[in-house]
This record gives sequence, structure tokens and C-alpha cells, in this order.
Amino acid sequence: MIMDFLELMFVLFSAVVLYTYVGYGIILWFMVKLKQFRERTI
Amino acid sequence: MEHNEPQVTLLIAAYNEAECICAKAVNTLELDYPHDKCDILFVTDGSSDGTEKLLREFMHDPRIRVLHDAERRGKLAAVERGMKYVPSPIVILTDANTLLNKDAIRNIVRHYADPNVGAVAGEKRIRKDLQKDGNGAGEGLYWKYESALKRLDSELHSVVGAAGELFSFRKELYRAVPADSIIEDFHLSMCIAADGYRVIYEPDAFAEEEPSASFSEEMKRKIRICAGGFQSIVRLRSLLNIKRYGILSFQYISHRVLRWAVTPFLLPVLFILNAVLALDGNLFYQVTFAGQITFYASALIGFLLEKFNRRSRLFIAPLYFTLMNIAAYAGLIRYLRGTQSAVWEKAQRKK
Repeated sequence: MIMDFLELMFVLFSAVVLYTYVGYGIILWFMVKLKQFRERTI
Repeated sequence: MEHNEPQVTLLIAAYNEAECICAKAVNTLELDYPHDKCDILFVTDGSSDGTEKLLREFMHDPRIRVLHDAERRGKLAAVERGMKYVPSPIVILTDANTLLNKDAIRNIVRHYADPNVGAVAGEKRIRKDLQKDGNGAGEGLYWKYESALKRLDSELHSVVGAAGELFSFRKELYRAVPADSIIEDFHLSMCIAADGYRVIYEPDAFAEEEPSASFSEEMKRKIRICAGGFQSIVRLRSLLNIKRYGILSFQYISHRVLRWAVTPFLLPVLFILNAVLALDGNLFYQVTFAGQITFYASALIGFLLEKFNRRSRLFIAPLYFTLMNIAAYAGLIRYLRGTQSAVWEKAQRKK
């Protein structure tokens, strides 16, 4: 039970760290591409 | 306002910059912009090394003006004082120890043709000729990644924070930043963004500066930025309201708040959690823990090599990353204790 909890915390915290240093850049890139696509199609 | 070539003022706060002020004055005078549309205002308050006297030799050029007061009150006060003498609708702040590219002003002002643009952030670059060794490479690598993020932030909506090395804004949007602000350029740019204006990133307007002389100098700078980061998060807490600020809040939280105030404190927790899970015998966690050990060992080796003035590119990135996060702890302590001075604290630069 405790190990499950620790595992959950590990996954959650890893996700936050990865999002901060890598994920945000990737999401941002996709959002910019989507914005550019929308602007081209309007 | 004439959109193609509006009247601009370059505002340069300089404290004891005798070593580089002549190069800065020559650089600003050589910028490609109509002479009758560009004012250059130096504020040398507190300087005691002859910075002001050196500048007076350039005053034969009508574009240059120098404000000098014997009392040192910090960069923010110097900018504040200089703003009272700015005659133009566009202000460009630039540091005395940086050199701008020739087209910098043109590349900045073209964005003001869009009335939604309230400010333009230029790029900070590290001088390439001094970037061969480890520290320069680490700092340069960080700024390359940061620049890519800024470009995307800017294209999506707005840059979240501008660096004071080169930062421009509409004069009408300037507001007095609290006197004890540690990173005033960041605070001001975020206030402009919070007012609903876009802050654009322009990488073709850049300010080149020398890398920090050492990691301890770089740490000094990072700690100051982190202390200022905590201060800004508290003071600009309304920006955390995603309902009110929408995309700007998303960018601010993702790019700044998490990096300054969350992940540095999660990293040691992750290390401990990983150690416990690895001890339980799970192969996956053993591999990730080995990865963490390797990473921090690389940072330690990089640190030891730095101590003996032997730098290796291989260890620079882990060392730089680790120092950045350690700086957050020191920055938090300084912010909580209130010991981070808002007055100029110059980092020594490589010669």
C-alpha cells in the first residue's frame, strides 16, 4: 500500500518535472502550429 | 506615431562601467536608425569610476545625454529617473555591458505597428569568442533553449518576462515598479502583459555580453533571479488566475512558476522516492535511479573540475542544471529573509 502511494507520487512528480523542462516546450510547439493552421484556414 | 521609424530613446543605466562604457557609446551611435529619431540617454547614478566623464567625451553628438547623480540608488531608481527625461513614445532599455546588433532598433520598432504590442523583448547572447570553455557553453546552451521557448511563447501570445539586457516598451505603458523589486524588467514586462498587451520576442534584436567569469559569479546571478522570481510570484499572484488571464496564466505558470518555485523542490523528493522504490527491487526504478545517480555524479564531477579550472563540456549541462535548481533554494532563503538587495550587484564577466 505504501509502495503504491510512493509509486504514485514518483509518477506525479516526474510528470511535473518532465512537463516543466520538456513537455511545456512540446505542447507550446503544437499550440503554435495549431494557431498558424487556424490563421491560414480563416 | 509614424510606424516605420518612430522616435525612440535608448535608456542605459550604468553603474561603474568605465571599462566598457566607451564601447557601449560607440555601439549605440553606430546603430542603424535615423539620427533625428533616436535619443541616447545614459544614467550613471552612483558611479565613482569615471563612467560619467568618459561619456561626456561623446556628448559632441547631440543624440547623447548623460544624467549623473553622486548617490547610488540602484538600477531601478536610475531607470525611473531616466524615464522622466524620455521624450519619445518608444523606450529601449539596454545594459551598459552589452553590445547591440546594428539593426536592433529597426527590428524592435517594426512590431509597434501593431497596436496590441506593448513591449518587445530582445535576445541576450553570449559572446561566441568567449564561449569556448565550459561555463560559456553551459550559459549559452541554456539561453538557446530559453530563446526557443520565448519564440514559441511570443508566437502563441506573449513572452512571459523580458530580460533587461534588451527590452523595449511603449512609454505610456510604463509604470513605477516597487522600489525593492529584484528583477524589475521581468515585473514590468509582466505588468504590461497583464494589461492585455502582447510582449513580443524579437531574436533579431540582440544584446551580446560576456559569459560569467566563473560558476560562482553565475550562481550569484541565478540566486538573484530566483529571489526575484519568488518575489514576482507573490507580487503578481493575480496572474495565477487562469480564468482571468487565460493563455497568459498558462504560459506564466508553465514557464516561470513551475521552474522557479516547484520543480527545484520536487527534484530531491524524486531522488529519495526513486531510491526507496529501487531498493524494493523493481528493475524500472533501479534503472531510473541509476540514471539520476549518473546525472548528479556528472554534475559533481563538473563541479570538481571547475574547482581545478579544468572544464569539460560533457559535465557542464548536468552541473548547470543542478546549480540552477540549487540557486532556487538560496533564492528562496534570500527572499524570505529579505536579504537580496535590489541595488546593482554586478556579476563579474569574462575578459
